[in-house]
Amino acid sequence: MRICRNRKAVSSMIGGIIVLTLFLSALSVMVFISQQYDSYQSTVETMNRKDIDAFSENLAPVYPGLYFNSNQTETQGTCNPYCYQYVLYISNDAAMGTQITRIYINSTDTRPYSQGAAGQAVGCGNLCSFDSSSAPQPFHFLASSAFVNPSEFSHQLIFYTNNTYTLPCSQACGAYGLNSVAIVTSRGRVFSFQWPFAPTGVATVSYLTTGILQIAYLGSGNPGYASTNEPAAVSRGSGGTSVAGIYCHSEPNATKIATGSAYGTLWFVNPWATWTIFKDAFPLTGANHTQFFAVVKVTNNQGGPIVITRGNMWLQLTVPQTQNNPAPGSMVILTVGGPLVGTYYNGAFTFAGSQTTVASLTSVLLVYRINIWSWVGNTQISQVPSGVTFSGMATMTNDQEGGGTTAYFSGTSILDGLYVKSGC
Amino acid sequence: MQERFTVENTFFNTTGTNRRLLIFVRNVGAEEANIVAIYVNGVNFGTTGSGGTCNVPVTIPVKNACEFNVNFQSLSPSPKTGDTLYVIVASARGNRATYTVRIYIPGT
Repeated sequence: MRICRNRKAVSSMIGGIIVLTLFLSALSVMVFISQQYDSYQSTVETMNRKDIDAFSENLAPVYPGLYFNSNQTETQGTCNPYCYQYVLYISNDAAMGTQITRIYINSTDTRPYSQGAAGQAVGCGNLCSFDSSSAPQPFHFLASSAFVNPSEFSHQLIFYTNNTYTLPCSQACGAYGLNSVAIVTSRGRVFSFQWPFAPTGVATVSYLTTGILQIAYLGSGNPGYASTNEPAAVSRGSGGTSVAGIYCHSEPNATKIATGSAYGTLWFVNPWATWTIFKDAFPLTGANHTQFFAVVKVTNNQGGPIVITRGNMWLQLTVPQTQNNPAPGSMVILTVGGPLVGTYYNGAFTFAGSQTTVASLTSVLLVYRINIWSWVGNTQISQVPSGVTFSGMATMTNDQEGGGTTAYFSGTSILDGLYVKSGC
Repeated sequence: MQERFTVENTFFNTTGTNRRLLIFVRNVGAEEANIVAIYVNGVNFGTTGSGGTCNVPVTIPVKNACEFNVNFQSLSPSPKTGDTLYVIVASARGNRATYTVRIYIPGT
């Protein structure tokens, strides 16, 4: 009997052990699976967090974008005999720090940094890339300046070219957008901008603002751009002799508008601004044509109208264009040409004397509209069917303010833009 | 999952009859990236010629960048200014980075 009772106890114990073993085995498997899942989830969350961090980065260039001074050279490190030093100004609009790992600069122009400085005409036409370096080194930036703190404004990142490379327009040649700058961060984001920045206001006397867009021109100065190569397509700035701080066309027949009487030549240069109010004010009629409008600023109303009395070539003024009693301070818009087809380059105009005056030293702004055409350089590459109109703007992808007809448009659309001035 | 790489820049080298595209790929992930193919408009060109620092297949260490030189001259129809190139960089793990760029070839 005792033996029987003992056997019953053994079986119970064995059963218990088996149950316990099964339980522990299941538990260990559950723990293992749980750990694996946790590891997976942890990795997913880590990478998601990295993605969010990357998307949160927000660098923005601030004026002047890049700064260069020919006297600002560096002789330390491997800069032998010296490197030119540039400063990149950027702001961090994000709430987290950003590490810059590389900078790319591609120049669309290889003119000297200052047009009057011969022998320096080497831009980054073949793409320059700047990596991090602890000491000054050609085509590197200082690692100590590569981190931009959260919300830091106007951070200065220092980088170097060698002693022959200078970026075009480094010293205020008056052009803009000649260098494409791309800033790469350690999280894989790329922030780019065109430098020098496009002007957002008029340098001297006035500016026009329409909606979100400011239309501006560069004012007086010592124009150095010779237009003798035009109307053949030329690169922006080529053929120039010297420029002191600004860019504008130097037209032999152009005069500053000092009184109510003025004359000059309006030139067809590349569009670089849009002015959509003209679409409403002067509806396009028909297809395949260009309309031009002259814009002047009124300073004094002497009881007479603003009149353009004569034009030739594409201006085609057979009837004086008049606007009566413009108010002082207002901008007067006069149709001066069109509808025309094709490329038109320049034409003379005259503002009648003894009439309402326009702002002293004000240049005449010519606003154009092109309907239908699509261009590469001065070559028509496509034409939409007659009667078809488009809305929206064409995309400017190259040489946004060049001389001549080197503008590169993609797509077909109505272009509204600011064109020409005389009397720079 | 931890593989991240991006095309951070491209550059056309179109001197003379050259029709080459430099593609800069950076590994921004937590593991090395094994780049095995580069497609331009659906065509696997691989990498050819000098000028690049890497040829496919290549393993890019974390935080490093590679410069691939792709000759796209044989694209049909012949590439010209204004055309769009759709670039895909593919890794052995099946991830890919894409980049779209418009061609600018002086004189075309």
